[in-house]
Amino acid sequence: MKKPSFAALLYRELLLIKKLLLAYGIGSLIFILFPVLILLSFRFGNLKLIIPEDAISGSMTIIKLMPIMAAGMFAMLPSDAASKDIAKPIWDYFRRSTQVSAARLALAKTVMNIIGLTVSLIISIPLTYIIAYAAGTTVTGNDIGLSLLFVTFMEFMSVVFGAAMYYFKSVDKGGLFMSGITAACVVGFMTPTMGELTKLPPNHPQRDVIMEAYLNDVITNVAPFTPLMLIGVILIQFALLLFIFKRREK
Amino acid sequence: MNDYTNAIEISGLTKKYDGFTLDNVSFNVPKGSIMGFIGQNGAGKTTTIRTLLNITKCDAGSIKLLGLDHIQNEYEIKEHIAAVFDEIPFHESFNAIQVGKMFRGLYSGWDEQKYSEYLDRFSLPRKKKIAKFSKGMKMKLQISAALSHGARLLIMDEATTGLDPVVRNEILDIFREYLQDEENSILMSSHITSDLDKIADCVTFIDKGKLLLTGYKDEILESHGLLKCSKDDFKEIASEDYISARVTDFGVEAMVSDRAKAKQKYSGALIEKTNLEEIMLFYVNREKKEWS
Repeated sequence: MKKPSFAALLYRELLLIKKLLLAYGIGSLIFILFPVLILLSFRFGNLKLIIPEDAISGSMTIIKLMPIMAAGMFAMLPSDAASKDIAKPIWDYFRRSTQVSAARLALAKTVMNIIGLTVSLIISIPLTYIIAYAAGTTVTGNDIGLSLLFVTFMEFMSVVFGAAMYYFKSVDKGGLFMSGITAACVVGFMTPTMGELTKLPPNHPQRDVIMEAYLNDVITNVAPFTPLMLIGVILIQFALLLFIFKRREK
Repeated sequence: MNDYTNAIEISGLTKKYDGFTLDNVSFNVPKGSIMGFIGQNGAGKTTTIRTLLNITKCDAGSIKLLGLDHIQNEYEIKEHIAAVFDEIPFHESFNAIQVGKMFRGLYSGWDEQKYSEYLDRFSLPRKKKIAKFSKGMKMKLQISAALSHGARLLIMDEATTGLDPVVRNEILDIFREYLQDEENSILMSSHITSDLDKIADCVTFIDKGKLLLTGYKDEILESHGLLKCSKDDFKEIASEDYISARVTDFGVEAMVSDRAKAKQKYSGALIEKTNLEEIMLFYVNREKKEWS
């Protein structure tokens, strides 16, 4: 007996995210072009004439991050498909009336996630080089590490959001849960530096130095483990989705 | 598939929720027939169907679909059944072509030619998004897909609710054609009894989780009748001889479940034929006994 085609399920997932994929694509171009133009202007253009060099450095970090954020957003695409499933609960009843098993559906969604992640990674690494060129710097290991870490974080949030939506059968509750986890991650990330930062007044230039040193430290120590972390996140996603899709109404 | 007499066999089906219990429901859908599954809103029709499809776990009872156990042989069965719901399960951004492509991958028996013929027959546009379809068009698309993969059992959960009479008639015609192959069967839940009057071979009536009637429609209609009399004459009618009675200023109408016996016992009374809607109405009010 032939099982439902995996390709059919992937096809459905792609149809669900088609519109958002296009929107992300266009948005990404803006998110990439805009910072590159600003950086080039800092180096060669009008901004170099009007803004002192020491005032630029704080903004530089955010500007350099923008394209990486755009690339990382592609990892969130599968959670959009999840939100569409939740908005149409009858799909789950229909799915259960067919031969599509919980395992096959969980696998299709996980593969979709891997595709989104791959696009993120493929875009983020060349972007790191483009940004470095525009900023007049060279790409360091930490720059690559930052890209990988950011994509890993976005992947983690996508998995949390998607699983939470399916578990609570609600986009709002899934979003609240993800916000909670995000807040916990930010607090956890900032905690080691809180002691030093709270001693300094707001806008003190030393704050940037402390944050940059801390960030570099994290990247150096954690980034090498991102491949393992990504594998772990993907496996956890599959297990969570399998558990959720196997649940029957009581 | 193995040989079987009944497309659906339900025995002692029980499912408990807070405030509602599907209580020991048993009925069969003979192969080659269409079973009208009737009851008012909240009677337990959808719960029964979800249990059949193993969407919901049952607390007790056994279910066989196409002669096979609905849990042990779940995947084998689901190749040969199609469920149609009151709401289209495909996303609004899809179109008919995309739905067909998806189904081609989901079912090994998918017949693209047949699907195309149904789309033409129903005049459904292929490239228009489902979001722009009317309710009737959405239902026709669902049915087109359901009937294009060689399903032997069609399970319809309130699928004709909210459709206009013209569309409902079109759909009923399709079902008559589907049943010309005697291997095919339909379970159709509805509270639109006029549709079932037209098409059903068998009827099962459920109310508040309890099975009240099941059997061949013609036999049920033949055995039931509406006894009409004055209020004074109604006092002579024994309570156990009628299901319930509608009392108005103009007289009394009482539903009897054994028309022949009632004719014999109350020979002076007018006992008319009835229909499924009236049967449903009077059975729903059986606890009140007299109502208006």
